[in-house]
Amino acid sequence: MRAFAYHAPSSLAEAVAVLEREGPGGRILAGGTDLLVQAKERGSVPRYVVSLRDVHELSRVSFDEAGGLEIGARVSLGEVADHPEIRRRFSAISTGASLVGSYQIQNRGTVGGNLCNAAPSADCAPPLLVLDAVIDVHGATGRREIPLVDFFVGPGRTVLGADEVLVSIRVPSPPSKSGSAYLRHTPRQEMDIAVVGVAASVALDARGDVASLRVALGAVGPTPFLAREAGARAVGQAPDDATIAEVARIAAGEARPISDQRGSAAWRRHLVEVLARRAIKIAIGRALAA
Amino acid sequence: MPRMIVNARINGEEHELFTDPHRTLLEALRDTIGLTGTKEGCGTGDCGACTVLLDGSPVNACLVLAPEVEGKEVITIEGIATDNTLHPVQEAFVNEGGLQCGICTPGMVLSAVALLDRNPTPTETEIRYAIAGNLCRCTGYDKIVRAIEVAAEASR
Amino acid sequence: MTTTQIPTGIPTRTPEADVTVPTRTVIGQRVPKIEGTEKVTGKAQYGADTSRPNMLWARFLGSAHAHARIVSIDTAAARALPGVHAVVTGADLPGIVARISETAAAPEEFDVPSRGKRILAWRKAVFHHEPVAVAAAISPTIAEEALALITVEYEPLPVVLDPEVSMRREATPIHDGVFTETFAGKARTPSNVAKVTEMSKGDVDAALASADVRIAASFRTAMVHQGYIEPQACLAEYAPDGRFSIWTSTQGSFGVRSGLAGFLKVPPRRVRVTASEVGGGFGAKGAMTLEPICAVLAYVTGRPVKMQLSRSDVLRATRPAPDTSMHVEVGARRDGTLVAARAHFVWDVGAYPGGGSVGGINCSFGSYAIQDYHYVGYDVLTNRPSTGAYRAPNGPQGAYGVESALDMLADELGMSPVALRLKNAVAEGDRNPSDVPYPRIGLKETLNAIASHPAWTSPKSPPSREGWLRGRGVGCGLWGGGVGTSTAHININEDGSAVVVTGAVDLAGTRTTMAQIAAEELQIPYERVQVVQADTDVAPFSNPTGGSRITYSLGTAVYRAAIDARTQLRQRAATVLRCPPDDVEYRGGELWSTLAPAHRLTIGQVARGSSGSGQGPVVGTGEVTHLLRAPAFATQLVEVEVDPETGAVVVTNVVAAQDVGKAINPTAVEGQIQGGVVQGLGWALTEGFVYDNEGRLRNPGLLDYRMPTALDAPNVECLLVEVPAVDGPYGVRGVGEVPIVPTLGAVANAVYDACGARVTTLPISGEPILTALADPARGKSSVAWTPPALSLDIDVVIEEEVEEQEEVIE
Repeated sequence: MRAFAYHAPSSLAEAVAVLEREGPGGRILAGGTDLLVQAKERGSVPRYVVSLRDVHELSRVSFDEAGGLEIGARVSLGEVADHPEIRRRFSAISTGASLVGSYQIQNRGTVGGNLCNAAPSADCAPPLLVLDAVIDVHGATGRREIPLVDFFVGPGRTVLGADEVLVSIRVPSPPSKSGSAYLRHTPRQEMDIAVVGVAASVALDARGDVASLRVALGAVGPTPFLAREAGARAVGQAPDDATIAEVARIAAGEARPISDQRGSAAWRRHLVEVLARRAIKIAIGRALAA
Repeated sequence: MPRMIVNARINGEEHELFTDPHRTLLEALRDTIGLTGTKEGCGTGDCGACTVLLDGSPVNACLVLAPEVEGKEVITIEGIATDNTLHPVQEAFVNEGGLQCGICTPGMVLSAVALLDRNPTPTETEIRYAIAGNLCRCTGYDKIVRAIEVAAEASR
Repeated sequence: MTTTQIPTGIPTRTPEADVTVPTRTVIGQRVPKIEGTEKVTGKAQYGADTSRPNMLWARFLGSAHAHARIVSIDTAAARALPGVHAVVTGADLPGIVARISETAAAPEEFDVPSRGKRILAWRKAVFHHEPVAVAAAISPTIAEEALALITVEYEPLPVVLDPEVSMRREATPIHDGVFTETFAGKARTPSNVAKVTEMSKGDVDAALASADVRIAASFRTAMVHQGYIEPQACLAEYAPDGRFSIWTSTQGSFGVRSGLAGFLKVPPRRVRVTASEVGGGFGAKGAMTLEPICAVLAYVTGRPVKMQLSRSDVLRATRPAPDTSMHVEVGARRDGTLVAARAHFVWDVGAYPGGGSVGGINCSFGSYAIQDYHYVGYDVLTNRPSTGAYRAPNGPQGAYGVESALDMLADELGMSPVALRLKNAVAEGDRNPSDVPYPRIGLKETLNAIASHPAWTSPKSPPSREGWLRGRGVGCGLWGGGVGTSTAHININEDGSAVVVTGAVDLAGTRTTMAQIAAEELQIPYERVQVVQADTDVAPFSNPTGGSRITYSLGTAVYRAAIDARTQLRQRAATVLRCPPDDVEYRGGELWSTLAPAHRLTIGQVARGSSGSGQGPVVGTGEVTHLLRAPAFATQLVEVEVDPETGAVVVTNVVAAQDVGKAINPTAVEGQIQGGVVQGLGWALTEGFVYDNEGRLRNPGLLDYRMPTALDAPNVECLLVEVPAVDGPYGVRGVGEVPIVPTLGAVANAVYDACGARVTTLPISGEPILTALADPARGKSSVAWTPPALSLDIDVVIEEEVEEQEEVIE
């Protein structure tokens, strides 16, 4: 790996100050599990890194009914995957976090890093998209909030400015009678990159019909994204097989896959339909059990 | 950027690692203080051969920058056996044939030690999940899984 | 996991029988690995673990193109970077070699299109990431920064990646110095077909025409990598006395010595090679990789130079296994008797000759007795990395095609696939495709072991996953057996313990097995035997470790050395006991005269006494240069579950029956079988190089080059069948290669059984299953393939006889 400089500020404000002072070519280092791979293998070596090592304010997970869930930028994937409240109320997020890399990777990597890396296949993105996540950002001009749906720009690109640091990910408390799920297809059982990832969240109304349904897709477009048409179609419908099949079919139509070493576009589109159907079914099951 | 000094507790001893900031914990362990028991198989966190325990949790040393371990506790394969006595996991790997060429063994042992620390009675699936990030190309994993089961039994 | 050892009732012949040998005590025991403690504590030294004072680090620059003329290389800026000690390109090599060897520079020697010669690209690059330049610097970072300062001007040339296009007469040759070799002679016009191997017998056209049932089908495998976890690593040092010291991860230290001496044009005595522990080889570390370049850099800089490949270097620029196109026809009578077979095997051997041929045919069709056949193998060059040996080289690809075709035939005949194989299985006296008769072999025994196993005899259990389908399939395969030269010394210590010294590299158990053999024959406890794998200055000569030859061949050398030591001990004891040597009894580590049994000597006493007396210390020696090959056969049963909606495959169980001759250490034997099977599962289901149209590898990392994880691997139940080999000690056969041979076909057959998808391309998992399901014509017999016309203008007759089986390494 080629050389770069290293900064370890001890507060968020100081981190932003380093970015402002040092200028372009910097990268935020949280877990480093994507950053170092890119520096070694793809030659994208930063000029300097700003480590969040000593920024302890970013290492908290908090949850309460009113305020919802907040995951700090330095919280590891493993902590999110194992968090009892996240497992119970935000199943798709915990599943997504538990699927990134190996156990070792999950001990270092972060949800924030998974989002900032902005891979189309990021396993944390579809679950957070279907659960209305908002990104809290701190930059030279202060704080701002970015809905996750507006966060991704393209492969490896987000709306984050060069002087901005992702502070936390906030997710509102899901309504009662709701559930979520995330499924992905990989050739191996673990240690793999999604050929396709599909997250679904469902909320049922008092009659048991669909009050809202969201489907988000990974690895079938330049960014992870919400399949909006598919979700809208189900509202007011009974959560039966016919509705589910219809939603899944529409989601497949919304996919924009490419052919690459992980699979052809046609297969990926087909997988979206299969996985969407299955993920919605699981989410409905969880909503009914909630 | 000039080299820097990183203070870390490695296998129970305080170390001052004099390192370039862009070097990894793996390079610092191997090239700076000569602990070559930690192996490099891929450099990208995909094989687990460089697994060490960072504050008790298994991580890929190839994806941890050396300065990131400031003030932390690192356990490598050299720190697992005590007073010339093998750890039960090491003992079981030897006795059950849980190793062949041995290049994945240090990382595999550390993943297994960490697993038994957090879950002394793992199921076979839990064992396989815990070592899924440690690739082995010789054994087909069967005897490694048996060895961890035997070690769990012995540790009880 | 359970293991069953299946008695076959055939008595073992101990080759050099000695009446004093009592019942076996250590042979067949599950003793722990001798070097196990070193390996679990991190003390074992692998290729990258050795360092020397003042050492430099080397990195190489790979070609940016898969096929390009190198117009110029500008290294001035790289050389000027502080900390850089040398930058070397292909053009520099003839001059450096001339200086080292004090001979005249001979650049024409580098015109030879050989991977071993072209350690750096010579005038053109013929595959992507082929090493073009190398830099040595005081740190790896500076070496990498130096590479970034090198400017190479390329003139891109057309890239050919499909061997069936590359082999055509009209294709432009990649090298102008490759001429098709055939058994009849060598062609005059350059071509991308490096070699054509033909085996035939009888009238295959007539026999196929007369068959009641015929199957014709084509199969294609992907280029795969051996996947050893330890990247190649080497350290070289040059001393002012003109000697090179090499520390390297290799399967054969003497092979590296002769190869390096040849490359540098120096006598072997100027090269000392120390083999490290090898972190997985599987054939790939039999050939030299980094040694010549490190030696050259050590000479040029006068400092020790260490080089370790990155994983992406390993995947892009070492020697993977060829991908293979196979076109198979088989014909049978209604009762299942195979009457004819015809097959064309197109091996994509990559950018330099080597890596293909005979083994693949003998390891696949070699399982069956077929009256009339015609098999042709083509080694074809493409702009991909040149290929090399990978565990039973080319056997798995061949057996995938043959075993798939046999399953199609069984389907057509309405016959059990096991019964079909049993009906045609080879036995002693039958001949292999190269027309060499088999000695005593155990294929039928392995088939019977599977045929009677509950996993085969009981009804299929329902799938464990909702909506999935369950299936099982079988496959057979063989490895012809490895032989070669081995030598061993056994020193008897004054305490009666023994040290075995060999020059053979231990890949995963040799030291343990050799200690068992020495302990057995010396009749001393296993714990009292040390085994030393010494460097080339110290050790007696040995061929490389590979081809499943070590336990068989080195085992014979150690066995003979132990017998020799025992004979010497008896002679020395006879002096002390004042009786003829023939009257000395040797049992349980004690010696006495049959005339006065009360006076007993220990081995230690004899050794102590003799080292001080005129007879000298006891050093047993044993060597072997040739044994009869001991072919090993295997039959495997694979059970899978398939998700017909996504194409996902989970392997739920494998039962592997293998004729091991005699399991000296059942734990080690099972380990070889389980490891081979899981490599085969990866090859069948998820592994494969993916190239873009420019010949660049799209998956040069272990995330996208998908080797099985612990969650992907099933339990592999081993059935150890022991049909003793006719040569070698205890009836032992080599066990390492064969377990990977049947697996690919067995997986394909299991997938077909589960869901009706006959997948004819590897890897199977995912999309290929859905494609096959969508196309019902697939999986049925199709029209036979006709090879394209080749330009075989042969006029030179090759004098030397072609070996009946290539000497290949594991």
